[in-house]
Amino acid sequence: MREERRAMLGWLAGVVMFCVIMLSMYPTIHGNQGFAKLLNAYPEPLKKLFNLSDYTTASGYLRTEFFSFMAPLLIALFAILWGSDLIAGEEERRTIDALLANPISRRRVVAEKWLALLTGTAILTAVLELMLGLVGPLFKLHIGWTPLTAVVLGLGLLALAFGTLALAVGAATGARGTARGITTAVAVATYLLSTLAQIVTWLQPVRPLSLWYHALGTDPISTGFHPMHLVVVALSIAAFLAAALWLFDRRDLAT
Amino acid sequence: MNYPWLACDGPPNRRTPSAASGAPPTSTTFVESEGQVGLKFRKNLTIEAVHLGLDSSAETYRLKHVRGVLRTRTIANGDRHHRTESNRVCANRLVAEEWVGIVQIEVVSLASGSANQVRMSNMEGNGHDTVRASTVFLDHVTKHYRKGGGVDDLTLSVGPGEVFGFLGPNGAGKTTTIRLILDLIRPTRGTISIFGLDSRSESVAIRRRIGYIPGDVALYDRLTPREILSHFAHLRGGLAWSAINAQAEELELEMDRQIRTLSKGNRQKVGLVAALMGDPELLLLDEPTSGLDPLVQQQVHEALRRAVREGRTVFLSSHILSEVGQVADRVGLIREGRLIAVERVADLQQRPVHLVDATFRSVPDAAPFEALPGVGACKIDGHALHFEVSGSLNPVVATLAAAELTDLSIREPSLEELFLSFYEQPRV
Repeated sequence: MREERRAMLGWLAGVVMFCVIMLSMYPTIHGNQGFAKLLNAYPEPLKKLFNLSDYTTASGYLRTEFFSFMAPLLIALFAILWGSDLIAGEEERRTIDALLANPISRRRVVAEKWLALLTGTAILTAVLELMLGLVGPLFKLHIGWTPLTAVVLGLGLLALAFGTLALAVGAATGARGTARGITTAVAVATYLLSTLAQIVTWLQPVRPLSLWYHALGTDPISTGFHPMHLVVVALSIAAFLAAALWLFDRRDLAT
Repeated sequence: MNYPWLACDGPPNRRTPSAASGAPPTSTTFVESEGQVGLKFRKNLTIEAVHLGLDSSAETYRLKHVRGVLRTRTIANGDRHHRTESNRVCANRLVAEEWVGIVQIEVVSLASGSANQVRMSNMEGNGHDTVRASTVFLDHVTKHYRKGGGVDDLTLSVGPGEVFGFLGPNGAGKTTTIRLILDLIRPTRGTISIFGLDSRSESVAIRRRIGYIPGDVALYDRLTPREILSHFAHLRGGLAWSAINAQAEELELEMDRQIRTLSKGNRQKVGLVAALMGDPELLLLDEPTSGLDPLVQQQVHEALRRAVREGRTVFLSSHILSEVGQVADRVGLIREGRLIAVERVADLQQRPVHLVDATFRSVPDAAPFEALPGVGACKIDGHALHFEVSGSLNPVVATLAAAELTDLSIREPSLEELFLSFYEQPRV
């Protein structure tokens, strides 16, 4: 775990910078009537596709610029990269042999790795929330803690879900590249599914298959917490973790 | 020494009904022999004569019930229940349903008549001191990889306190065997028991008592030896730091530099300290000195010799005969996944064999050489004569000097040739 300290600091710096850049752009857009007119001129399907709504209000700006794509991408990428490295990385670097020569079960290794992933994701999302909540007002971006927490929680759980999936694929295959590839493909496909379902009617029935829909598609920044949807995400995390524990336990480790 | 079978399983016992229940059943192996025949106790206390050598004609061994009260099923005779009588020779496999007091069983070799005894007792008995658990026991273990390699039908036993050398060329299955013992990979067929515990279901308990040194130890690049060792000490249940530190100081290990900046020798020292922490009963060493400079090799050998002096069981894999020859009691040769031979080092060393290849100007006559002491396996191939010499070379050299030679080489046989020549000779 300690090995990841430096990488973690890098990610934190990235999140902070990302927040500062996004926030600093807000004042130029806020109250800019020209921008609002421009947006209104966009065709309706396009607005839906990119969540372009109320661009000039605080929650609208955050929803569009922040939580619809960039922030989930950043945090989920972090979780996927790390999750895929936790077990498969140790196997590829062959440090797993020395680790498992100690009297610890494979399940304990997976569980502790997952706890590290949970902690890392929690820290990252907490920093994101604090940046927006505390530094946001300096850029005239005011948003209540409750909607902010609602959306950040959804975001964190979503990232953790993809990270855990990457951990599970890595634990099942021992290959980091496979874990990253599969998880990224799933993340992108389900993102498209969730987003396109808003404009493509025949996709709508299958939209609940996407974790993006449950975590962020409910528009938590405007509508608050949706416990049932978050439970779906949490259950997915539990399922991925169970798969990781089970698959890693019954496999031959790479030489 | 602890005897799991006494505590965990065994048949219903009238005198101590509570002690036998509760704990999970276990697969346990005991060996009371020097490597040729063993006794095996299983979940429902199957007592079995097991071959540990190469000869797999199991029928030449029988179990003999010497004394005590024992109700058994004799598997080989069809599933009949009966009470065995003392001094009765049974099949080579029994299932003990019930026993009272101390029961003594013998393994009788029908070929040589020799016997290995094993005693079992109930919880109130104290006669189990003649039972020895084999520390490492591989029972017909096969491991296949999709891309080939692995081990094939490997049966092997290492007794407590024994130093076993596992020799073979690279890719012969040495590392596979060690990784099987550590439960990093699982056998395709067969079972492994370590300290009498099942290598799969009781792996954590086994690994608590094992120290492992891989040949090319891979450690966390960005951590320092101090961080890694304290982490491992924590994983082993919070071991005292003073002993670890003393060990590290003795090896002159730099504790506060990142692993990636350390030389291979220093990394290997970290592996050595990690393996020795917590006084493991069994040391698994997989080519521990490969690629090390002589000074560090010396330190590894010294640590190894001390472990042997302290009575630890050592399983040492290597492709260098001299390395294992210095410390091992017995040596097993593995080639292409199969165990070819298991020999005592003392027996091997009594046979200093040289191979002679001599080329003559004319077609040679083998007779004068065959008449010399210690010469064997003469072969004529055109103008060349090949033969083996055990013992002194002087008479051979004198005879050769009288002939007109165009070429001559006298060399020590490779490890494999040594083993094979050993096997071609009639046993004394």
